[in-house]
Amino acid sequence: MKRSRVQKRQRKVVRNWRYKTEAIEKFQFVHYFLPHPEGKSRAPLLSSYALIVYGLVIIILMGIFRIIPSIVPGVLGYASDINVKQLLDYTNQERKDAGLPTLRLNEKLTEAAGEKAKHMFEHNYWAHIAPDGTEPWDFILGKNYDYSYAGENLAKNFYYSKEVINAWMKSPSHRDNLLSPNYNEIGFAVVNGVLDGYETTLVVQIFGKPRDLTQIATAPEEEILLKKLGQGAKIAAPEAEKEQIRPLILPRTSEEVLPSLDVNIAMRGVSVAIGMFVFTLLILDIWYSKKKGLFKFTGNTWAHVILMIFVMVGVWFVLKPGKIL
Amino acid sequence: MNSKEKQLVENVVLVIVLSLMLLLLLFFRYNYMGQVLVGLFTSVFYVTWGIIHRAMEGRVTRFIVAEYVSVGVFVFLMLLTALTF
Repeated sequence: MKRSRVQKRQRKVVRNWRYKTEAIEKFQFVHYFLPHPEGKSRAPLLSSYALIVYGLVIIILMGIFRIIPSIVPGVLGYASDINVKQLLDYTNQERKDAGLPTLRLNEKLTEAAGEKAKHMFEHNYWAHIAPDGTEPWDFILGKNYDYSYAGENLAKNFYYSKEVINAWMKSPSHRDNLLSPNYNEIGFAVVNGVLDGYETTLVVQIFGKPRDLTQIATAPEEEILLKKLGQGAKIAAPEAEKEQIRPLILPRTSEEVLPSLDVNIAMRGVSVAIGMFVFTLLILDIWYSKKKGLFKFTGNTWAHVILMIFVMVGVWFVLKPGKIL
Repeated sequence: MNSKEKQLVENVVLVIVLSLMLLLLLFFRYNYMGQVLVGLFTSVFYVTWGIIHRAMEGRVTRFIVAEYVSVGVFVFLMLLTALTF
């Protein structure tokens, strides 16, 4: 009974091959995805050549994503959700945890940070010292902030405020700045713009200690400043200390300019999509080989599967685009 | 040790090293060169592991070496895409 059914199916296949050529094409197409018992090898789409082709596809896409910004600047970039209030809170939390006094947000340092970010976008560089020789201190002194100590931390391509602070805390030199007992005040700029053709968010953090300690920003000044920056901060402070401060040149907020395509998510998506394709073929290879009892002269398929899982997890969940300086 | 137990030990070694790779990628999270080196080390380790694994079974052929090398290069490029942008 079973035999006759198989024979019937075979007869049907032969008939289809004779009169319906597309049936043969379909049969051949499927075999690109399945291992070959004759050659004792993997599916053609899992061969070493195929893997090299997938690698080349990745390299070509990386090249395209490098060329696009020079042709159409600002289309690719990094979307972000970073704001000054969170940066200030996280910075002060780290200082509190280290047993240090918190820092006050200073208007002049914030303006200096904004000028620094603007300068980096205008002159297309990413460094503490500009190609024209401008140093961080020039921006601070340019805002008439007379300091005895000052420092600067930079970050770009981060998605969240917490990630920025975490990155600085992981780097010894940035951590030294963030947890230095020499500073009383701080200024931040979170500015969107196009750097090297990519739309990105630059974060500039400037620390300072004024020579005249009576000039340290008060809590109401900090509150007004945060409101001006559009963060809506609520900081408790005595009413008597409240006074007007002059308006700021506000940095652009993250809602104003966003890239059409987040380049990091797109590239990670491409990488994981190709990885998933190879992973699926490997699973098909295991299933089909077991089903048909195939013995192949190949590498360890399960090991490839394990490797692909770890690499895809790494690409999607662990690797992030942020950079600090 | 029979062949199944040997294979289990080899796969456990692989899982441990790959878990270490994820931990090192986390450790070097904002260090580009550190992450590239971890990716490179993982690829080289996998190729070496694969060849040794098959050599112990006496089944090393140039096709198997080519397969492990191409898989190693492919996963390194996968990691590099996320690191480059």
